Amino acid sequence: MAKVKDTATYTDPHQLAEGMVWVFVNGQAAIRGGAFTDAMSGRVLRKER
Amino acid sequence: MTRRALLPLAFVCLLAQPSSAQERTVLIRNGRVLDGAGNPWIVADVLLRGDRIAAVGRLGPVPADEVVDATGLYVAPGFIDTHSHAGAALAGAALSHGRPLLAQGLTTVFANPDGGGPVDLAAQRADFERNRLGPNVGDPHGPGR
Repeated sequence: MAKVKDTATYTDPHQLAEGMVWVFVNGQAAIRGGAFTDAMSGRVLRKER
Repeated sequence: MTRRALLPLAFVCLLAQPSSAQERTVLIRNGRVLDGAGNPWIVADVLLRGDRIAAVGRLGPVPADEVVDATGLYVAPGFIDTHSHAGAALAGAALSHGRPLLAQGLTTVFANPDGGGPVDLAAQRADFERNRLGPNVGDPHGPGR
């Protein structure tokens, strides 16, 4: 858990957080083994009909 | 004769179509699973089928299209930011990938906070869908309009 951390600072703000090894969005890997996949599997949420 | 032969075949196809043939499965194995309800973590497997979490537990040798070894990793539900100012960026082609959000484990954000965001939500939604999205986005109207 200590590996999950923010790296941005006040003077150097454009830095990504670290530590996520896998992230799944709607069943597809958006981060795979620490690397972005740009799967673009997100959706606009809609009210259930 | 043809009718009798075709009907059962159609029935078998219909039965066979859901889940197994169509939807990809991912087995996240042996992680420290946090259920998001405040409980302590437990060692378990998580099975994804299509866009759903199909099962959580010690699942044993379940066949899956992909197996992720989560030994030593924490496995949590995707984080949700209910107050995100990322809407305008996510609506544009350059940043709709949402990498800075994904890097924080955020899989869903709610845009248009503080009365901000566009008045025309249909246009914003069209932008999201045209550029496609890394994370999920909810786009409610902000307050005060």
